[in-house]
Formats: sequence, C-alpha cells, structure tokens
Amino acid sequence: MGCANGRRSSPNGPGRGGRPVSGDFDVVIIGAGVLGCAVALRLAQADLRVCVLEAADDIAEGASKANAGITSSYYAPFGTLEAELVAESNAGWESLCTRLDVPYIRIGALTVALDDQELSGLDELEAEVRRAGTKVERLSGEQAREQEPLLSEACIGALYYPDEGIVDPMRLTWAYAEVAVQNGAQFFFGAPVIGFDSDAESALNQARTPRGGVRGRYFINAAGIGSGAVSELAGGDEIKMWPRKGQYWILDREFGQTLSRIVLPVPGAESRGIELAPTTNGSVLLGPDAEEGGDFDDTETVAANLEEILTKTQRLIPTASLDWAIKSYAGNRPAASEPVRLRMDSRVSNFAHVGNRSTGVTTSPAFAERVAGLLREQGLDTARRSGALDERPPCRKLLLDQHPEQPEADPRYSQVVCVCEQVTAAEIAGALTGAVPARSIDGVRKRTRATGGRCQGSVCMAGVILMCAAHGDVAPAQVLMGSDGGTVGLETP
Amino acid sequence: MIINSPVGRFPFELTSVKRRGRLLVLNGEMGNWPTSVEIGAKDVPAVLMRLRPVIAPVMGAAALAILVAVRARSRR
Amino acid sequence: MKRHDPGVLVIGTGLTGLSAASELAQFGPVTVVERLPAPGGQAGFESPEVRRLFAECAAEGVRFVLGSTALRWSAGQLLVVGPRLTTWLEGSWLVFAGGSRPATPAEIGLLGRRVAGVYSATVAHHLLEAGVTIGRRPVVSGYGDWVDVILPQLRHLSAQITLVGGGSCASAAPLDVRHWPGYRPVQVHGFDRVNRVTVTDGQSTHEIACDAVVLAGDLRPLRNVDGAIRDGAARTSFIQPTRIGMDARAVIDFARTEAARVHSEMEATR
Repeated sequence: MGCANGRRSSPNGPGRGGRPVSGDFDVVIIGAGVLGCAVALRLAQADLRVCVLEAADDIAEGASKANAGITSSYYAPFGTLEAELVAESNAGWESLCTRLDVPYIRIGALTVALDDQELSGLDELEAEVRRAGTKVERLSGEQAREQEPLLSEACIGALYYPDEGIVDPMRLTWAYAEVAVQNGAQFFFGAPVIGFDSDAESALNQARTPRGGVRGRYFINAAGIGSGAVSELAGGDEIKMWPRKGQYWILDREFGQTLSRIVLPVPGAESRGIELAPTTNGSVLLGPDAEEGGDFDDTETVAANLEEILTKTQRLIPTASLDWAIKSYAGNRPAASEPVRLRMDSRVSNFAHVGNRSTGVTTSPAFAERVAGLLREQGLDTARRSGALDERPPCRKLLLDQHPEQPEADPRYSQVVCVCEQVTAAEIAGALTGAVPARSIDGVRKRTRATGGRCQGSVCMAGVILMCAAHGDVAPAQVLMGSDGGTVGLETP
Repeated sequence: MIINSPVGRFPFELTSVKRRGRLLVLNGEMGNWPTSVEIGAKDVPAVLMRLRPVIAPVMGAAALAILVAVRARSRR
Repeated sequence: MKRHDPGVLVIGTGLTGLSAASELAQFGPVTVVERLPAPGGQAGFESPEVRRLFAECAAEGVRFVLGSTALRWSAGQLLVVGPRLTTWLEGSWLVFAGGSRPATPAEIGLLGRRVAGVYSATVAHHLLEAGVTIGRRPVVSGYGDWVDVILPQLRHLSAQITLVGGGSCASAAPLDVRHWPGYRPVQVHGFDRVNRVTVTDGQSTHEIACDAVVLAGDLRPLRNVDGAIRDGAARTSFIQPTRIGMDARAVIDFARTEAARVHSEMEATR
C-alpha cells in the first residue's frame, strides 16, 4: 500500500512547495515525531550537523499527535528496556517543560479495582510496580475516593502513582523541534525516504527523497509506523510494523477540570485498559482502546468502539457523559515485533533504530540522552557544546489564571481569536512564524489549540484562516487544512 | 466606509490621511478598534486596476485624487 | 445607605443582547461587552433593529465595551481582553447573550476523521462572502436559519446542492436542490478532502458523493466564557434563542421577556 513510509501520499504530491532536499550531515534522522525531534534536539546541542527527514508536512503527524499525553511513572516490568527509559525520564519533566514552555502537570494516577477479581489483579500489579522502583501507594476504596472524589462507589481498592504526569504532546514535539532548529538542525518536510545509497561495506551514505537526497555519516530510523519500510530500504534488520489503533473521546474542560487524577482500570493481559486522562488544557480524554489488523493510515472513528470506550470509563467515573463531548479521534500506535527499539542495526553499521509503541512521549527525554550515548560509542563526539540552547521563551502570554495589569506592548496579545481556548493573535502569529512554523490550520491547532475547543472553530475558524492566508501569502481558499493536502476552498476554474 | 472581510462586516471611519515616507497611511477606526491602511506606491496600480469600475461612482473624487497623487509622487 | 451596585453585565450586542440590555437598563446600571469592534451580532451593524436598539440603550445610559472579548467570570468579576481595553469588570450578575451556532460533528454524532471540506455553517458563510468556492457538489445538513442563508450563497456558485434533513414539507427545498428529508449525516469519508457522506433516516443508509459538507442545523447555544458555561452557573443567566425560524421581532420579544424574568430572579436573590 503506497510508498515506503506506509502512508499514502496526498494527490498534490509530497514535494508540493518545499525546498530541495540536500546537504551533508553528521546525523540524518528519519521521522519528526516526538522521538525523532527529541533526538534531533539533543544531537543538535552537540557539535554535529543534524537533519530530520519527515514524510508529512509537519512535525507530529503520526502517533505523536494522537495519544493521551501521559508521562508514565510505571509502564513495563522491571528489567525491560522500557522500564529503564520510563524511570530515567520521569524526574526531569518539570524542569524540561519549564525550559521548553510546554504545559505539564504531575497530576498522579489511580489504578482502580471494582471487584474482588480486580483486587487480586491489583496485588500482582503492586508487586510489579514496587519491583520497578516506582513510587506507589496502596489505597482502600475510601482513600481512593479522597484522591479522586468522582470515582465510582464500587471502587474497593486502588494503587496511587504520585509521579504520573500529563503533558501536551504536540507542544512538546514542536518545542523539541524548534529548539533543535535554533541549535542548527534542519528539517525537511514532505520528504519521504524512498531509498538509500551505500558504500562497499553496505554502510549508508545518502538518504534519497523525491526532492533530492542528504548525505550523512549516521542514519537514525525514527519513522514510527514506517520504521519497517525504512529499515528494508536501508538493507537493515527486518522490523515488522503494524498499526495498533486507539480511539478517543475528548470531553469539555468544564467537566475535565473537575477530575483530579488520571484514572485507569486494572490492566488486562492484552492492554493497559481504557482510561480517563485529564489534559493540560483542562479537557479529559476517554480512551484509548486497542485494535490491530487495520490499514496503516486508518484513523476513522467507529461508533461501536466509541460506545465501548464510554461504557468502560463510566464504570470508573460514573458522571462521565457525552453531553460534554467535543470530538472523537483515532490514532495508530506503531506496534512492532520489537516494540521498543534503541540500538544500532545488526547489518548496517551506521544505522540506528529508535522507536516505542506505547510510551514514546514518556520516554522521549531518555531516548535523547541514550541515543547520544549510542553514537558516542560509535565514535561520534556527542558532548553538549558550550552555548547550546536548551530553552525557548514563553509564548503563551494569556493564561487562564492570569490577572492582566498592564496592556502588552504588542496589541496582538490583547486580540483574542479563539475564544473557547483563549488563544490570542500573537500566539497564532508565533505559531505561523518561527523556527518550525505551522503551515496549515491543523498545524496552528497543534501548536496553540485554536479551533480545537468546544465550538470546533464555529467562531474562530474564519479568523485563523485569514491569519494563515496572510502569513503564507496565499488566498484564503489555498490555505491548507491539514497535512493531507486538503485546502480551505477549491481552485476556481 | 465598510470593511467586508472573512471575519465580518464592519464600519470603517477615516480619521486622518498622512504620508509616512513613501507610504500613504489612512488612519481610522474599524468600529472600536484602531485600524490603519498603509498604501505604498507598488500597491497603487493594483488597487486602481481593481477599483476602476467602481471608482467614479463610489469613491469620492478626493480619495481618487489622493491615490493619483501618491502614484505621481512615487514616480519622481 | 444604598449599597454600591456594580450593575449587570451583558455579553453580546446582537438583537438578543441589546434587547436584554435595554430592558434591564430600567432597573440599574448595565454594561454590555462585545468581542467584535462593532455591535450587531448575527444581524450585523447595519440592521435597522440593531441601530434602533443600540440608540435606545445609549439613551438609557447603557455602557458599551466594544472590541473586547469576555473570557472569565468569577466572583463578580468578568475578565475582558481587547486591543482598546483589557480589564476585570465588576458585575452583580452576568447575562450571557452570545448567540448560537450549528451543532458540531461530535454533537450530532457525525463520525469520520478530520478531513478538509467539512464546515460549520458560520465558517462556510464567511468564506462564501469572501468569494471562496467551498464546494461544487456540497451537501448541506440541517434546516432553518443557517440553511436559508447558505443556500443562496451556494446557488451563486452554481453548485449542485444536496440538502439533507428537515421534513418533506418544511419550508420546502427549492427545485434546484436535491432534498433528502428525514435523513441525517452519520459519517464523512475522504482523504485529502471529503468525497462522500453516509446518511441515514434510521432505517436505510446511503452514501452521497460530495466535495463539501456544511453543518447548518441543530442550533446550540454558544458557551465560551469560563464560569458561565453551564446552566445554573452562579449569578448567571443565559438568553439564547435556539428555536429555528424566529424573525427579528420574535427574538426581541423573547429577549425582553427573558430579561424581565432575569430581573425577578436577581431581585429574589438579593
């Protein structure tokens, strides 16, 4: 089905409007999802020339824009690579997100048992979590309800993880990418890898895209669901990838902000279970479920799945209701025969694999450091340069709890465009300019949440279209809606 | 005057017309918002071409004179 | 000694907000906040009723804050943000008259990925006014006010229009429009742009090929001021007509009646 990265290219072609792909780099990263961008930032902070090749038109177009934004404190059993990466990442979130101006809350999570069978499942889980060294408390039903007053009366016991957190995954990916560019990294969008050139010893020396190629000393496969195809093109290890689809409801922050914790069921053998995850903007996500066997680019929502998600989450929080539903969506986790990959390829000497099925956001800080270590072992100097940038100035001036005393010098900070999400013209302008700018309505939404609120753009979409048109110097009809190539209007004949 | 845009239809009240270097600046209020329109020499031919059919009956002779004067000045 | 009365805050200067403000101005100070720089709401600043009501309000001493967006209502204070004025306004009561909007896909149970070519009627209206061709084979879903506005605009584009919804004798669809009365859209399909929409009447299901979908039905009240979202929010009333087919007179009468009721409620809570 379609091209190398497993994603259908839009009819307008991947090369629409982009600059030619060329250059000589030390490290070429394939994929601008949360892991690719985290690694790009860390390596760009070293004395290295770094580039990122992304098939889609923007950062965070795969699983990185369709997850719950949870930064886990426990996910996989002790002794696994995933558990190590989760542990290494966990303590640094406040500091990282303050530096990158990304919303983050260490909100805590409850795994909740509603009957005796689940209660014994809780015993097993508690043992595993303690073995992994994660901070955890065993609570009675009453104590659990003190932590989360909306919890079902049927709850008879729970585990409480105080170190669990929530982050805005799209803002995080964007921040990684922006600071990477400010450190000298280059991003090429609409640049799917269609082949590699290698030398006599089958080491790679060039990655080719339809718009040209880039030379590199090391190549990192961070292509998410497309990792298998990329590895095949490189002559590397066989990595079997398939989509693990997860659907979600988004509920209004009017309800979401009444929730105090992430709430999960006792996990089953197959999956972590369908949860309620508050978000950093106050809304709450119900989901995800887990379904395999579909198409690589199938992100359709299905009524039956959505109903099941509601039913299962209402068991945990009975007042959850679709009266508050804003939107439903689906994303595909990049499931694989080797779900967590952080290693050099076994056949191609300068080719590395970076990937994570379920905890990409959670483990992104650890991936960044460890990949630097991996390349250092290969002989590359990955030490941080003095003067390397690791922060960006705050862009969100109007916060929900801000008490404005002085008018901002820039009147656009006083010009509210998206009322539902309280986004000003200045913030939208910031998203449209800068190091990794939005080039579509969805790109603006990922960076600012404008048009993503309860009215879904009824009030502000026209204004956002106007701003995109002005910044992109195109007519309103030509403004892109998202990365799929669709525009606001049709070409006039 | 009326400004008709994709975000709405608003009254525009002209309060002053000034020259700033090579730019003609129309200062005014779009409803309650301070708004200005900056016209440069390179904008004028395009504006004139687009407005040709309506200039005479709709725009005042004064406005037309201003636009023509800007074009003339920019030629010097 | 008379207690300091900060007065009533009204949000919205459409026919509803202006009528409510005029009614409430009889009883005490009223401040009306409007996010756009000119009054009028959906009716627009040139509407004769809007001009009349605005003048009436001004004569009654109503204070207007135009071009500032109300964002948060909390403990008798309303945060308004705008290029001319950003401040907290004091109010003893909030009357929200911010208007209505068509229901969103989630609200009508319309499934399908976020694909280009699916518009709320409010957005489609603005784009059509600006000369954007939003579709040549659009499907318009709904009936009533927004449909009445959108259809002539689409006809102006010589579009092949399909109208989904409404009863078979509801202000009947014009002859040049394909009408599916009693049907509603349930899923949009397409990759770079919507290319078909599944519709159902509860018994049978069909797919209609299209290149745009305009959601123009099922009016919902706009709610976008934190602290004034739910019915029953403290010291808050909502005056938002959502019945289809109300003309200006009906809206004004509705708003005045509701404002009188709000005043009674305010008095009762003193």
